[in-house]
Amino acid sequence: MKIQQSIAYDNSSTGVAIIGNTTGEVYNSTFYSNGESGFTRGGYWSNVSGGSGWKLKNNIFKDNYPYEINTDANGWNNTDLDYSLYHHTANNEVVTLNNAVDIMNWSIYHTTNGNETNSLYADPFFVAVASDNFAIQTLSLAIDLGMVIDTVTQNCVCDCTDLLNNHFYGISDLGAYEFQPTKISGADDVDIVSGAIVYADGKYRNENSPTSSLAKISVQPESGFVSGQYDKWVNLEITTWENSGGYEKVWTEGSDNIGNGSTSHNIGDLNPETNYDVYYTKQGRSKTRLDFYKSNASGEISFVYDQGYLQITFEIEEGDNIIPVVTNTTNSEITTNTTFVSMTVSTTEDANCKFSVTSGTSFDGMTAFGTTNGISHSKSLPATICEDRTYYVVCKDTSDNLSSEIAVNFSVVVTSVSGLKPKMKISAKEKLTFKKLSKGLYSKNNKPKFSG
Amino acid sequence: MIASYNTGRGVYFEDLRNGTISVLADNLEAYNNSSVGISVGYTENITIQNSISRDNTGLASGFGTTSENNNIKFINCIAGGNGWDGSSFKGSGSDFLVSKCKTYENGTIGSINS
Repeated sequence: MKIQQSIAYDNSSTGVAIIGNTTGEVYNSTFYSNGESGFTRGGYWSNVSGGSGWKLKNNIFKDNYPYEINTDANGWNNTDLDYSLYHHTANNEVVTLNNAVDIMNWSIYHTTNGNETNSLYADPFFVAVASDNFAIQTLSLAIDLGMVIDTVTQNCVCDCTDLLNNHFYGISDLGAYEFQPTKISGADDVDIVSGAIVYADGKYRNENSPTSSLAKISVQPESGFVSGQYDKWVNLEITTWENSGGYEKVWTEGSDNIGNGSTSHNIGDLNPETNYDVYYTKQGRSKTRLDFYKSNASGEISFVYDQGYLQITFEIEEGDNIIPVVTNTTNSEITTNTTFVSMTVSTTEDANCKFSVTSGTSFDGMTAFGTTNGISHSKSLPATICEDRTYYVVCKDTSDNLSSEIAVNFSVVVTSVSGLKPKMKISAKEKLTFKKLSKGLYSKNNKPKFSG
Repeated sequence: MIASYNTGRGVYFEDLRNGTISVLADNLEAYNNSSVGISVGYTENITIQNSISRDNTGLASGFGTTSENNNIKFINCIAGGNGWDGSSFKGSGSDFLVSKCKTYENGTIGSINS
């Protein structure tokens, strides 16, 4: 016999009764409030006289009368119960293995006598018993507590769906109803205290009791979530989430499934237009800087992590937001006897400097200095005539902080240009004529007058 | 198919034991009958699915089978409010299956019973 993904509740005598020469299994079923005054069996009644035994796994037994488990004097008789959740509100009479001769509370049955080592005693947190809704709520300990029933069918009982044909998420829950996460990574902020267990289709559930403090954080495969995938993907636990001051953030991502896959992160609640450093720490390894990222106008940064998973702690700290200061070190008047002059500036930190003849030019649209990326920057410029020049200089540091634009003004004075020799040849007659004319021009009575 | 207010069983599958024949009973509803709502006897290879057996009285079961059956399956069935001295889902044999079924408020000895 096989009983699976079924529920029995409010029946007069028993939830499930195993009687006679039988063999079978009871998986992922819920038994609630079966039995009433005048009946002695309870949630599970075993009166087996033969067969090769019963297996009962992944079930919920709650508030059955008078006991959750009851066998005749033969006790277990090859019955194997485990991976189940029990709750018996009325009293401590949870189990009897000899038809009520000896009645055990959970501590004696489970802890002292070592029965059902993987089962728990806790309220399953049904959604609404009064309206016969026995689905479990987000904090039920029954979630993901099931054992692997069938490795051939991807760890699922039946067709990996519950009584309502909802698909299992991760390892099956206990009972007839699989908890269905409703929150969506990226669309719903994560509760800071409760954290999140994210599944492969992008839905997630709280891991602990939620508060009203939410964190704008989302993680997803770089290639995106896949609809129809239900494996547990990543477990997200937030340690520090500052929304002011240094805006420090610390959280841990644990996953057995991601391996060396890449994950995309979107982190909010940061100061807008600010540089932040992102660090990661693998278990037993040192803290490593991933990179720096500048937040957008909404105070969000995005980054991809591809350094491997098991348990990774991420930290966000405020980065380098100091703007480099540019000083003009070019002489105001440059006398040259070459074809070039050198424009120079200095910066307060390592930076990349560019210039333009037009004020307000975007950094990308400017021309790079010939020597730059340190604190002293120079650019050789053509200069063959005397003139005044103005260039506009902006420098960007290694954290992409842009300096203010400065104007570099200087005058070019070309005295002679070495290497340039006249090619014109003058004859002896022409030289004599030139000499005579010069004498006339510069005679004592004919001195040239200069003004201005 | 609906079977209601009968003085005996609502629906009774009996003596279907030709090994080559499989029976699929879908969308049955049996209620307010004076015995088992939907019963199977001396029968093999039958699947009853998407069916409801409710409020049957007397020596009633929601879904009842006898030990002579073989390969009986109840899938997505509901038994509710049935009467005394029976079982909501009763069966035997290694192929007996109760899957995704609901049984509630029955005055039964074992709501799911081997």
